[in-house]
Amino acid sequence: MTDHLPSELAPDDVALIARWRGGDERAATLLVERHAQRIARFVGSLGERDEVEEVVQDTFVRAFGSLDSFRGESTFRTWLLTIARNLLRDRQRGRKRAKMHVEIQDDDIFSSSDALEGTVAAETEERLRRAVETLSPMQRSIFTLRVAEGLSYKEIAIAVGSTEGAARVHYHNAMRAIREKIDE
Amino acid sequence: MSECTNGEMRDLLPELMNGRLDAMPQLAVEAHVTECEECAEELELLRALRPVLVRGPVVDAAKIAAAVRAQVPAHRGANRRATSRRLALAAAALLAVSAIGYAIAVRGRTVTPEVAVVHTPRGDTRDSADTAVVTAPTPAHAPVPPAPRTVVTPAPEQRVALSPPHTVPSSIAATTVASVGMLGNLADLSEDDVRTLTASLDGISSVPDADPSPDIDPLGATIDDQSGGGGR
Repeated sequence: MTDHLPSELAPDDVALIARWRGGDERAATLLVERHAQRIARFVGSLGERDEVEEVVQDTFVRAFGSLDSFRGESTFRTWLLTIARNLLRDRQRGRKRAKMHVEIQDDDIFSSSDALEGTVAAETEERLRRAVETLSPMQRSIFTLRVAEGLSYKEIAIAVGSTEGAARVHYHNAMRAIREKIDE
Repeated sequence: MSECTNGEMRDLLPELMNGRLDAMPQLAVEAHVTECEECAEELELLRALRPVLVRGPVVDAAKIAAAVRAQVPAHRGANRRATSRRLALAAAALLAVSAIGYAIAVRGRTVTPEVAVVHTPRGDTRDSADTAVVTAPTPAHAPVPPAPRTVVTPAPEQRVALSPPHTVPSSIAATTVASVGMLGNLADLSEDDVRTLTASLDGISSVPDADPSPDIDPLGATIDDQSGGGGR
């Protein structure tokens, strides 16, 4: 696992992709381990609940199956996010759900809430979680990519199929909404 | 609390928190934060929000990796084109050998894949003595014998250029098959045999199939924002 290596020694995505193209299947494992969780977060932020792991798996299968079309014009992570978003869109269309926004349920986040219950930290975190919950799927996904993943507006725009300007506006609107919510 | 008027600095707070700034911009943003109460508060809020946001669905990366390895063998994608090319060459060689073998089986004789030249006689005459033909031999190791490439040096009365056997008009009553060097046996092939042989070779393409296009459009349609809260 890449976690076993200091970050400066861990091969970057480009090197791992080259190794995989050369027949090293271990490289695929490293890439999946590196990115699976953040792809899952992104999928979850877009409102998917029941089939997150399936979407993530399909994302990687699709990505590796068409890796020869990856030109390196964006990062591998952004490319994965884009594929995940497209897969999720297709699934959501397939389901013909009238409502895409699936509310985050309490047990999503606080699996150990009992231990934290009553503490100030837990209350603060709960308030923040509630504030994030009020965001639309697009706002939440952009805000998550910006704050939790550290992506630039350009990377976010590619991932969500939007523009840098729109991503910036969504981010600031999300920040304002969260501020208003926690100030209530 | 005063409103921050430095949007550029404020916009970089997530990058500062995630350590994605180069040294100089990082120093600039840090300096701004020490002086801007609003940005300092926002940075604190971002740091509090991050743990909330990174919590999400937990997936089994090992299981996903195993599925990827099972469904997409390594180097399948990038080497698909090279593999197709190798397969095409192998298929071409196999077809050529098969066609020659077929011809041999039909005639029961040994035939080498050299050039056969077919020409029509002059007028009603079936005598080939008045035609001089020079052929360009094909290297014996060539995987796919090309269609006969010929240079015709017409004798004074010759009028017919060479053409592949299967294009010889049926109206021609007879053809003469000439050979050069080791091709004496090929002269005994019937027109049908030669037609079968050349037809088999005509079906070979040296250009491998292009890679199938991935059915993903990474920059395609967007997910509609249903919030109504963001401006585009």
